Order: sequence, then C-alpha cells, then structure tokens
Amino acid sequence: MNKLSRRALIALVLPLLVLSGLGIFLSRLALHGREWATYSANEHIYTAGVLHSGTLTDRNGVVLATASGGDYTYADEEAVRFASLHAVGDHRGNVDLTAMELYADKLAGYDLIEGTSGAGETVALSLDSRLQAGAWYALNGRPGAVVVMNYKTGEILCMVSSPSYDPAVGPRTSADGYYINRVTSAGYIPGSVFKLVTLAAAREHIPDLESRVFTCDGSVEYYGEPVNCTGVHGEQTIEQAFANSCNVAFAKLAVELGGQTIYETARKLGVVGALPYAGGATNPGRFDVAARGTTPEAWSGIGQYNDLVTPYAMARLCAGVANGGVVREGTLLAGDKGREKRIMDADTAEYLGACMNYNVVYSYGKNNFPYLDLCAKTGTAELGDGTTHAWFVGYLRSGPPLAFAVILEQGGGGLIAAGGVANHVLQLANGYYAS
Amino acid sequence: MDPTRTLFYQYTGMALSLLAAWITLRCARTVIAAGRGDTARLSVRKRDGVTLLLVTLFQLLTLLQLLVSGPEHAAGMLLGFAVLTAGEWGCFLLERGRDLPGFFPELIAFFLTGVGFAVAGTSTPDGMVKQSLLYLSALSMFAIMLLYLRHSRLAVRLPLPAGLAAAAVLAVTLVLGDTVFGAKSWIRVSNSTFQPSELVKILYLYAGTAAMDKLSRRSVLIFTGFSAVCVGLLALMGDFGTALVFFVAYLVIAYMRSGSIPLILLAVAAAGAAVALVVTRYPYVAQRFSSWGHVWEDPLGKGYQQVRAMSALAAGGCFGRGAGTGWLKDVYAANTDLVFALVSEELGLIPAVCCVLLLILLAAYAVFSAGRVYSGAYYAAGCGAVTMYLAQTALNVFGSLDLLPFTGVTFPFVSRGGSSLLGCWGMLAFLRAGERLHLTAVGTGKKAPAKPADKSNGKKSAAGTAAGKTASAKKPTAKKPAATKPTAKKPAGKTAPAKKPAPKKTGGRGDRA
Ligand SMILES: [Zn+2]
Repeated sequence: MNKLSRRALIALVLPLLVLSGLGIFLSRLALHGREWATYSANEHIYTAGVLHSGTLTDRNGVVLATASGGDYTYADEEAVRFASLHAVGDHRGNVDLTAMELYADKLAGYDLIEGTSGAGETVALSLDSRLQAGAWYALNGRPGAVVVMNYKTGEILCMVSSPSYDPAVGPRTSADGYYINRVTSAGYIPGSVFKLVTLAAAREHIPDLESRVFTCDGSVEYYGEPVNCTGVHGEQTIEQAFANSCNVAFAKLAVELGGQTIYETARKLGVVGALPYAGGATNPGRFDVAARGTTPEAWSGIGQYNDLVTPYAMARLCAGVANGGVVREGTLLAGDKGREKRIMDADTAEYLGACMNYNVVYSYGKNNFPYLDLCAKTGTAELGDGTTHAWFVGYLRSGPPLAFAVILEQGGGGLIAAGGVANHVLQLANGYYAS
Repeated sequence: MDPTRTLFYQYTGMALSLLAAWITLRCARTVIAAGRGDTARLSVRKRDGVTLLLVTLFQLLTLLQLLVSGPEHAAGMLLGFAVLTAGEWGCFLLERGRDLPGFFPELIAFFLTGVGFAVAGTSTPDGMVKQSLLYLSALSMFAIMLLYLRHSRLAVRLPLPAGLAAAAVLAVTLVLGDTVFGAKSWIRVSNSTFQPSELVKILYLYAGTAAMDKLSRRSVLIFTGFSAVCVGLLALMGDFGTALVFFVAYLVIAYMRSGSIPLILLAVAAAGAAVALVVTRYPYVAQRFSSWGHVWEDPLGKGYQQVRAMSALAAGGCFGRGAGTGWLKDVYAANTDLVFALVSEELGLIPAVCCVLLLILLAAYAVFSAGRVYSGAYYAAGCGAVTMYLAQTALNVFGSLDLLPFTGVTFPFVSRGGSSLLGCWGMLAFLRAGERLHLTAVGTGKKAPAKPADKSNGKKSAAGTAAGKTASAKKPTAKKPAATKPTAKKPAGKTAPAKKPAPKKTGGRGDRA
C-alpha cells in the first residue's frame, strides 16, 4: 500500500490541472467579463437585443435617453430628440454605432462581483444638447449632417444627421436613410473639400509649390477631354488657386502628383479608410486610382470621379490641421481623450491652416462669420445631375478648439448653404465655450 | 424587476455563496486531516453532520429562490426538495455504525446533487417528480453497489464478466444508439433516452481494478487492451469526451497497477497517434471542434452555446441572479453541457467554483485514503472514480467556457440526466467500498474479500505508512516481500499510543454494528 499510495499521487495531477484551469478561467473572466456580460444575448440587461438599463446624458447632465425595466424615455426637448437619434440611439435598435450600443458595457452597470444587476449606470456623453438642437434647427429639415469636435481631446460635441425621427415616437416612415448616421456611416462625394488632400500632397511632394504660377483659362484638356473650372481665374498663386477653388490648378496638380500619391496622402490623412470612432469604425470612404494623365485622374484630385468621404473624416482632417498635424480620435464620452495619431507634419498642418484662413479672409468674407477666427474650405460637389452637395469644413484657430464638417445633400453652394449652418452652430458654441 | 425581489435575490444569493464557501472550507479541513492521516478527525461523524446541515440549508435557500421565481411550480419543488433532504439525512443515519469513517464523499455528492436539483428546478420545473425518482434510484444504486462491494465474496472475482459486459454494452450502443449532436451514445427506451456509457464507467472501474491484486505484467496488458476497446468504441460513437474520460482513468489505474512511466508515455503517444490519424483521415471530426478558441467569432453559429454560457456566467456575478431567474436555461443543453455557467448565472460564481473545488477535494480525499482502505483494488478504483469525475468536470466546465473543445460531457452529479446521476452515485461506492473506520484484525477479518489482510494490526497512522495489507499484503507469496516487511514491523510499535483515542471516540457510537 505504501508503494500504491505513492503511485496514487498521479491521480492528483488532474486535480491540479483543473485547479490551474480554474485560475486561467478566472483571470479571463476578470479581463473579458464585461465584454461577455454585455453581449446582446444577456437577457438580464437586453430585451430583444436592446439594452434596457442605463442613462445617457449630454456633457452638462441633460438626459438624452434613459431606460429602466423596459421603459424608455428621451430628452425633454423635441429638437434634441430628433437631433440626437443617430448619436444616442433608440431602443428599437434601428441605428448602428450609437452611444447606446457602443457604451452598452458602461450603461449596463457590470462589475465582477455583482454581474449585471440590471440597475444600470449613467454615462455622460460629450455631446452638448444645445448645439444638437441648434444644428437641428439650422438644418431645418434638409438632409445632411453636422459634426463638431474638440480637436484637443477628440470629444464630439455635436453630431446630427438628417432626416431623423423622434425616438420617443418611433419612425413614421420606413423610408431609406432614416437609420443611417450620415456623419460616420455615409460616403459623400467630397468635391472641393478634397482639395485639402491634394494640397497636402502637393505641399509634401512639390518643393517649388509656393513659387509657381497657376494659370486658369476656364478649362484644361487631357486626351481631348476637358476639365472645366467654375470661372476663368487667370494667373494665381497656389493660395489663391485654393481660395478660388480653381479646378484647373488642382487638376494640373493632381495629374502631376498622380493618383497613387494622392491616394496615399488621403489614406494617411484618414479621408480614405475606416476610422476608429468611439469604439466603432466609420464608413471607409473611397478613392480609386485612375489611369495616369487622364481626366479621371484630374477629377479624382478635385474630389469628383469616384471619391467618397464621410463628414466625420473631413472634420477629423481639419482637427489634425488645427492641432499641429496630430488628431485625437473621436469619442462620445464627456471628459474622454481620444487616442493620439499624427496624420501630417506640423509644417504641412501649419501651411494648410494658413491657406484655410486665407480662404476665409480672401474669398468667403470674415463678415459672414463674425467673432470667429475661422479656417475653412468650401465644397460644392457635383452629382452629375445638375445638383450639388454643399460642404463646409474647417476649424476655429482661436477661441474654443473646435473642428467641424457640415454637408447639405443636394443643398446648393457650399459657402451659402453649408457655411450658413456651420456659422449658426459655431456662433452658439463660441458663445457657450468662450473662455 | 421590482426592488424587493432584487433585494431578496441579492441577499439569498450572498447567503448561498457564503454557505457554499463555508462548506468547501470545512471539507478542505477534512481533507487536510485526511492528508495528515488524522483518522481521528475523519471519523467524527458529528462534524460531518454539521456540514450536512449547512448543505441542507443551502438547498433550502435555493428552494426558496425557486419558489419566489416560479410559484406555479411550488408543489413539485417542495416535493423534490423534501425527497432530496430526506434522502441525504436518511443516508447519513443509515450509515451510522457501518464501519465507515465520516461522511465526506457522500457530503460532497449530496451538495452537488442539491445543486443539480436547483438546475432541474429552473430548467425543467415540471420534471421534479422525475428528478426525485432518479435521485432515489441513484441512491439505491449507491447503496446496492456499496453493500455488494463491501460484503460480497464475489466482489473481487468478477472482473472478467464485468469487462465483457462493459465492452458488450458499448458495442450494442454503437449499433443501436441514436445520434445526438454527433455522438451516437444514446439508447432510446420507449420515450426516454439513456446514455449507457455513464453506467459502463462503473463496470470499467470494477473490471479494471478488481483483479489488480494479481500484479502481473500480463494482467496490465490485458487491462490495456480492454481499455483500448472501450475507448475505441466510444470514439467510434463520436463520443470523444467520454472516450477521453475513460482514457485518463486508464492512465491513472494503469500507473497504479504497473508503476511504469514508459507504459503511460506509450499509451499517451499511441492515443496521440490515433487522434492524429483520425483527424487527418476524417477531417469532419476535427470540424466539429473547429470553433474551439474562437467562439466569439461565430456567436450565432458554432459558438452559439459557449458564447451564451460565458455571457450568462459573467452576468451572474459572484452571487448569481437567483435560482429560476436566468435565461441560459433556454439555450440548448444548458442544464447538462453548460451547467457550470447555468449555476454561475443563477446561484453565483462562488457556488459554481465551489462545486469544482469540492470535486478536487474529493480527489485528494481518495488519494489520501490509503490509510483507511484495506484493499489496493478499491483504493485504485476510488482513485479511478475521482479521476473520471474530474476529467468530466474539466471537459464540461472548460469546454463550455471555450478553454477546451466543447465535447458535451456532463458535470458529475450536477448535470441533468438520469444515467449520469446513476453512474456518478454508482462510482461513489468505490470510494467507500474499501474504507474502514479502523483496520483492525477483527474488523477486516469480518469482511470477506479481505481475508489475507488479517495480518494487519491496530490503527494505522499516516496514509503513506499505513497499509501494508493490500495488494502486496494479500499475495505475500508472490512479489513484494519488501512491501510486506514494513507492515509486519509496524503493528507492534507504531500504533499503540498515539492514535488510540480515535477508536475510543467513535467506538462509543457503536460503529461496529
Ligand atoms: Zn479656375
């Protein structure tokens, strides 16, 4: 028996393995428990895939959505409800990448000891309900999107997508497009706002850029096909060509740089490729490299051809320019700081910023944007059917550190239509956050 | 949920965890005593009585939670838990004076079975009558096995028929069985299904160890061949989990019988080669386990069950959401294959982990029982039984949590299922079959199969030194003169003074019935 009891120690190997297995499992639980518990099958906190606990407020504590035991209520103010649907979400689960979904793990109130008790937590979002309402009123029912972010932290203060519906009532139509957050999930033809990308590429690849003269006769031809400009701009410096948004000048730059170079710059700047945003990812946009020396290549450098971008990507690009070439990835949590990423040289950022400021001074008119130290770029993207998307993107050089992008679908000219919406929202923000 | 109910589940949940932890701690102390060879402590039934009281309290609390969660099933629940409690106390009282040290293995089995009742109560609330009948059958199985093994002269003489029966049952299952999720291991009898492999475990342990006192090279080889047949038949059924359980038990028993590390390595290598062969020849077998390690990549397909198990487990926290309030029970096989997560979700992570810890303690108890077991055969069978329990536990728990492939093996005593419960209680008898309160000449002489052990002496002390009166002692003629010797030396000197109090203590209670 002596020998047998010594041999029997082999029977302790398995128990020890099980014990260490328990240890591994418990450490995995500590690491991933939150992820596991907030999976949408967990009926302690979800009903049919929708979280039924937790409260989302804006950055000032205004309730945007709250759920408790199957009852869902939203912001008191109707405009805020409409404006915040896509950023905040609704309990029907119609919209993707909403704060409700992205921050379910925080809202659910999970902890290792208690599990998901269903009590729910309150999460303060970076949104400002006053800006939300302001943007909603400024859009005035027109389809489009507004996004405003703090370029020093990545906090998104305003994120409105139109059309929308009142989440407290539910969608009135099943029309397409109601459920898309146009800020992050819709790819738009960028038109002239894409010239920011081409300008950045030119700055980095053409040493004598600033000493050149760009002559515009109203159009330029490649293989007999014309690229038309919006006017006849004559002789211009690059800054003037940018302020004029001269298609001829930028077509020439695009063909000189080549589609591949512009594509690489666009990727680096985050205009093409899915971007991380608040724990989700945006629509990746699009840029097709066309054959060398053709009109498609020229058009691709001025934001037409097959180019597609999201409003968020444009706001982020402006944030990078504003912040010395470094972006903070977007976040929807109040007080949060997005991850840092350098997207261009400080020198390029400074140059783009100067050009964008020159736009406002020389072309857009400072008086149209009173009290704002604005750097911006307009875009009037042609859809091919005679209508245009109106774009206005940029940032405030001083005052509250805000970068923004506004688009109005088939909204006409960039400066008048989109610039007006941007001005409205920025005036509010400037008032609220003037230091 | 209204706040009062939430509070009720919260407090009862905490109490459940407290009780489970307390029970586990008490059991751990018992095992430490066993490890030290402190038989005196082990033999105090009063101590185990107190622990059983805690177990009963634990069960009453789960009953209370179940009643609050589903008052419409109150009658069945009350009946079920009445039978459960009656069974465990009946067993406790009946065992008095049966020359059994303590109540430890039963205690653990009853705790786990009680958790199994909570699982049944939440997943099949209409089936409590059936659960009670299964439970009573399982207890009868245990009693019959125990009486047979302890008192029959045949007990050590039937390994061959048992082995043949084991192989035959498996072969019949292979031919007639129904396939349930890839494993053809179920027999349908009228409208209920039955998994014969659960009972074959008993036959296997019996066949594998009963003859081990004939310590010849040939017998080990025969045992190896027999094991290969069993494991092979199970693999042919597609029941790879159970095949692995048998294989691990084989390793332990074979090593205990032969002491040969090369044999073990060879067996592992052969099994590995067989697995490699099967995987390359029949890729669909590996396909069944392809989601292993990445269940979260396919939460609606191959990872469906495991993902939900992990989610529900995390949702339960340490103290659980309350018996009867979970959602995992609606997922396929939640009360068998995902039962660890189900228990975690409803009763809490602490009771669920305690279930595993208790089985680990049971294994340690079996290994440290050398000083109380008079027969090497039963000692090895006990070690084999706990190995099977733990192999199942590992496959069940870690399979459902994606640390091991998901094979659909049951959690001993806890998983719902009649054949499993019968098998587990049947195997428990091996842990008790050889145990004697004190291995005195009088005592052992009485037990038929142990006749040669009468050379043994008074009380034994440390587990290690304790028993010479076993395998080796039985056949003093053949081998092991070395082993017999210390035994012969011991009786006089060693036993006398130190451990005398033990028999005194228990003797008063009339264990020598
Ligand atoms: Zn021009």
